Amino acid sequence: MVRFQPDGWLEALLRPIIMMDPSGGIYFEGMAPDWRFGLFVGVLVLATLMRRRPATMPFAARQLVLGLTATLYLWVFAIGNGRYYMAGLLLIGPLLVLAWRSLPGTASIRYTLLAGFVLVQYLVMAPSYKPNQWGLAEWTEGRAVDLEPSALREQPAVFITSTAISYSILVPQFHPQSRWANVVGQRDIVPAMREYKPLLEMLRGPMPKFAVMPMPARPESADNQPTPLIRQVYGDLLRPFGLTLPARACTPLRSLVAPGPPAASPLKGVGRGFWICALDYSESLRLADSQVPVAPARVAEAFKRVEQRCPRFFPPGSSNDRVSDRLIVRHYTSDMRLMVDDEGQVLFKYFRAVNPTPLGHLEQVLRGEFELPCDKPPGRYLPPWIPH
Amino acid sequence: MTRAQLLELALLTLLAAGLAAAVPLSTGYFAWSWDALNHHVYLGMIAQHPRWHLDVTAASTQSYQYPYLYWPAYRLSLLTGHGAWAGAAWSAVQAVLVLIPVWFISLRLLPVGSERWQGVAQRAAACTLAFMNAIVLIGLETTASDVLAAVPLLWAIFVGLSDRPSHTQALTSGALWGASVACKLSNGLFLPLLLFWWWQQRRPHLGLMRGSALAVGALLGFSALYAPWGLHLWQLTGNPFFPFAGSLFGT
Repeated sequence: MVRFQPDGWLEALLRPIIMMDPSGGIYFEGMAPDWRFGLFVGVLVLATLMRRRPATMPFAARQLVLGLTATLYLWVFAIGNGRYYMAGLLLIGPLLVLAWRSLPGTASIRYTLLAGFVLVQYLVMAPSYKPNQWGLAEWTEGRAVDLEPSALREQPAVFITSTAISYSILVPQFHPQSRWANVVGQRDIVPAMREYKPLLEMLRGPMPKFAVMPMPARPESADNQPTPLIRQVYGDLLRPFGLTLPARACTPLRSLVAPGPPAASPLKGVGRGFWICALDYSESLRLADSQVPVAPARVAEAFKRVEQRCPRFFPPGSSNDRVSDRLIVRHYTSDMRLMVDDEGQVLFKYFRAVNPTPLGHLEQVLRGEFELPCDKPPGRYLPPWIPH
Repeated sequence: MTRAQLLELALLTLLAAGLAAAVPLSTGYFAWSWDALNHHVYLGMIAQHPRWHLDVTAASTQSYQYPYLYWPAYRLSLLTGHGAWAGAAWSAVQAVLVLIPVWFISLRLLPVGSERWQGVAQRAAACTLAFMNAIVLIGLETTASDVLAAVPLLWAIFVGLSDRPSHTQALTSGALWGASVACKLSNGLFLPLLLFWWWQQRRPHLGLMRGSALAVGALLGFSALYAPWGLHLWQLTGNPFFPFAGSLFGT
């Protein structure tokens, strides 16, 4: 995952300083400016300059500082995601105080400076921290995971999810012998995967099968059923597995776990919940549909050219192909999307970019006549020394 | 440890627990994150009730993550009551579990002579600064395992900071490091710490016995915590680290 890896050596080396930047997407999905690492480096340099000799520390402390420095750069190059550096993010607190002790000056000046460190870090952190900011669903009162009672929850069945969030939080709310699979979402289950065989065994079994479909956040209709377009979208996703949505009514189960406005929102009448829709399985449909590639041969070849040019952001073999409206889209695990529209224009978009970037017409890409900013695609973090 | 230090730790612990609990109490609810909806609760469930024979990647690619630290998330999901209070308890417990080793690390890292109040001030500042990062604070209020997995690593660092190095100390710090890696494989990034702990001030600088104690400790700590999950994965996929190390195990 390249999401938080630096785009170059300078960005990597300066990561402790870059972490002071309040921009999002540096070492965390959101904004998490951190001045502690920069202050730590600055204080050690300042202490060395003022004392005209390297700052001294006990042996064990020096080992810890060196070990953490090595760990920091290992983390930056390998992952760079702050959630995988929790111990380092905690340890920098005591280490900053350790560095502060090497500063010369009177006690009053030094303790004022230490209080200043705390204040500065508070001031840079406070605007970017909001309580429960990662919450998608609220548990206010009652059941922690609320879900409308239904006979569907009491009998063993197969439940298929096909969204990026698998909503496996629902599994404990259903019959313990029910079987669950997330077949499409972050990753599609394809015949080459080891999961394909047990999935087929599950689909061929006698238990009734249902799709679990989160309701989109919109005013509920009188019958509260998925629209034909929603049925078509899910139908397209599930067809390669031999699954179809018959024209039977779905069962809506209200739940605040599903996406939607908060319970206290003024948007009244917006449904939150899941549709549980019966699924039919057909072996012949699966055999016919699972063999059909989503991208036509020429599009696949154009995508291959781009992957060869920039494997870091377009890693071959790590993608899901989709047809969405008038686009053929390839989703990469690197947060990148490569697209061809119905006029043959090839575009790419990094998940943090506002707009897609055109690469050229399909024919141009096939001939290799395209420019690709592989070192810094639009949407990646831009350090201060790169003009915005 | 003196009585004054014990009192200081108790007060800081109460303060950290109170502040952490204040977050869900101030918002009035407990928040399930993207990851909780996707895999935290499910992984906690399979930690208690294995479901390999039933499900196929029910929690998508995260279905193979080490599940045991998510068991509290599963138990939380089964509760009925006030979400804010449940969240307050959860955040407070996590804050306490982290604060105590950070305070002990500060005690070892920042020794003071007779200036008792200076020691108190420095340790309080160190603990305050330790928590002053948005990711740390978010970690306390969600069901992610990042904070819990850091706890054995922090204790490993505390033991590693001992001013009286011994083979037992090396074995213990190695075991705690190994346990933290079992809880979250990305804690393996802290491997350089082990190498620096191997290095001693006195000769031999890289003693064979000390290196062996660290390595054996790390292996034992890792194996003790990872074995049950590794065995599950091995039986299912032929690879105890699935989906990683595929080339090593041919998966």
